[in-house]
Amino acid sequence: MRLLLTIARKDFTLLLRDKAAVLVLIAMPLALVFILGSALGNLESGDFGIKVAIVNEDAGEVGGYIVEGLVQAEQIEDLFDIAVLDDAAEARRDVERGDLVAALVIPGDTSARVGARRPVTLEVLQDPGSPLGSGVWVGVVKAAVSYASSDLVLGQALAAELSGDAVAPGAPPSAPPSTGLPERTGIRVTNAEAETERSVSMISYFSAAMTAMFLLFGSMFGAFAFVKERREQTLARMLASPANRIQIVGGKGLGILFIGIAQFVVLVAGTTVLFRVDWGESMPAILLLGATGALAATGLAMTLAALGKTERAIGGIAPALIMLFAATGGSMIPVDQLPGWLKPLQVISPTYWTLDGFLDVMQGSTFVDIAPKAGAVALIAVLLYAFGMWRLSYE
Amino acid sequence: MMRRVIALAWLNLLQLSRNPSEVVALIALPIALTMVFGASFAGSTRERIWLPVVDEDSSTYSAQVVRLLERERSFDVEVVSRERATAAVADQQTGLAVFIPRGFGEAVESGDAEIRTLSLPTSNDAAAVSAVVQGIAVRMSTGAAVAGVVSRAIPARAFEEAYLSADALWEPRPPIAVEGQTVIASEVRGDGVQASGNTQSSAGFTVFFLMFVTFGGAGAILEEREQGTLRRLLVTPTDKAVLITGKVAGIVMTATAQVLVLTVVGRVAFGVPWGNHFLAEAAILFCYILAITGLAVLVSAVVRSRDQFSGAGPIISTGLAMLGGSYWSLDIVSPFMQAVARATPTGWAMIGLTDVLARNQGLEAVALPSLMLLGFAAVTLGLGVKLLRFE
Repeated sequence: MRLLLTIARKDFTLLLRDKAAVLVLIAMPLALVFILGSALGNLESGDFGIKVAIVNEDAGEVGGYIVEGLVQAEQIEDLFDIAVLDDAAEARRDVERGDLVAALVIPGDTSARVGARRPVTLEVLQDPGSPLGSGVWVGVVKAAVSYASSDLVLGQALAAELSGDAVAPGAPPSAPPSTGLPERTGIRVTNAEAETERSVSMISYFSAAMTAMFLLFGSMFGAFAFVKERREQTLARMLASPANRIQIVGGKGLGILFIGIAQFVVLVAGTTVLFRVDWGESMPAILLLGATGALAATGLAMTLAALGKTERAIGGIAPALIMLFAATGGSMIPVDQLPGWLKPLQVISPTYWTLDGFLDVMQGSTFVDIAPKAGAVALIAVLLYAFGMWRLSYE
Repeated sequence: MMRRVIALAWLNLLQLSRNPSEVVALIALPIALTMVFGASFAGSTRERIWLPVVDEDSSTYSAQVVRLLERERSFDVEVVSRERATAAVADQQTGLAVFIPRGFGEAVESGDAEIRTLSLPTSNDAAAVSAVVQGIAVRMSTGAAVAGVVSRAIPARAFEEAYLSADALWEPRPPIAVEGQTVIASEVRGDGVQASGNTQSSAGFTVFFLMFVTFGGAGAILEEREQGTLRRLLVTPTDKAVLITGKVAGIVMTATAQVLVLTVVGRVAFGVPWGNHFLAEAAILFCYILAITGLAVLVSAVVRSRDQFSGAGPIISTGLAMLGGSYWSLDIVSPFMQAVARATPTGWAMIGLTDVLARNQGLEAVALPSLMLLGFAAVTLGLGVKLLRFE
């Protein structure tokens, strides 16, 4: 045990001497979380300013109501920067070039068709380069127009029922349709967030996700240290000392584990202070997950050192493996949006279990609740470690 | 001189080819991630959203909610038990579940009904499904409002009959409908075919993973410095300029090889329109490769050790990929962050590639992004070469 600790202390001290490397290990992940928070912060504030346009070619009243309803809707004023244009061809060109994310075109015969009780279809031109923003605009226009349809149906149906006659085609609507976003209270839709004590904000989700991912990046340092010592023959020399292979590999692993835990503590503290991320009430549970995540990084370092003969090879393999673990584990896209065929593969991703555990704790789970998930990460760590030990070349 | 430059560049390719695992990682991973992200974000190619629905009422009205949800082509609706639906959301198998509680039908007739949803707060799907459920509620509220007035005014007229009569006015299409149409410069493409939904992820991961290749190449320079082979090369009749040009050319060649594989696979396997505007794509990608090679050389010149470099490389790459729109389309970030994207090489590469691949624009669309990238390359390569130490 003493030998093991000595080797671990040696590796940790070597790293601490390289102040710039320490800075990179600690400060860079924090910088990345900051970038992420800045990039996606608007998802919560709703402040997008997505550039869209409305072209009203309708000579009658209905087109005007639709324009007015959308332009004046307070719910969407931060979301969209709405321009009212006269020329559909110009709007189409702007959408084609990506200068506009989407444009609603209200056809010239809208009022006439509504008056004649014939269905009318409004067209939303969408920029193929902005699928998300244009999709949101289509959704908003659909919602606004469904209220207009509702008013028209209400007027027609009441007129028909109360007069006892079928509605005559060509008769004008009883009242102009409203196109704002009023509540229809007959049937309400109420949403509850998944049965948790607390909800997880987007920035909290990605803070947890990035932390789970960056714990694994620590493995690269461990693998590099191995390769360097192998190249410089110090590993072979250590084997000639009273230390056996398990003590050498264990000691080096312990050094990587220390680095991972230090990274983790800084990330949790940094995100809490900078972004007010609420990591939940069970700090022991968070620490357990952080420790098992760092353990997985240790196992991965062994596997990488076994797979890669040179630093360059590890530099190619490691980010690839880590990104794959991160992508399947939900660090890049929330897990529920991942394709179904991928979900069975998540069980082999330490990032998946670590992130899942973090989210559980953020939502109120306790140490005992997340213990099985931490156990899954520990099991993956052991398997990676065992593979590394099996395949590792010391000379 | 040229022969030496080519020999040095070739050496870089040889070193890479001797590491099959690295080659596989640099090629297979971007392809795998394109599949994952394409399936997650791409509207046209992604799987349908699995939507568990709990119908505890089994009335005419609850059946209508289920039927209207089933009509949405993007949903895969399954009627399940309350326990299964709750567990599915809790386990993140789906972003949202719909619950139609017992007594829903009676509540519709009394004018105070409720459809409940249970959602994951981080799910984008949940927002999309909620909008559809809200639309169904508006439609049904309209029928219920009509039926309520009519059944009170004409007692002989049953609520359900009046409801169904009013609801029929939404068929076959609502009075005012909305259709989205993706606009592309079809006069250039000529086939009017919409760009593949994988376009964003294929372009994004090509841009992202090119950085790993260039950083790997620049890391090799650092490795040679640490091993002393750079110093040894200097005692040969090879001067620094040739050495650096050869190393940079090697990185550019490796990155070009990676681009070729990724774009061919993107086109063949994922239907991404790579190659439709070959010159424009080649121009923007070449300028981008130069820019990130410059960045990698600069970072390798600034850091002192391989440890520092390997720590900084993935984080700089990932950060630039996020800022530049490789992970997600820039249209969902704030105007400020869109401006920040224009200060990054990844941002300009994505702007140019999106114009060419998704919007079907030609050479003129990549002129500005290419120039910006060349400027970036000139600055970073110039600084990097100046600061690079050989010993």
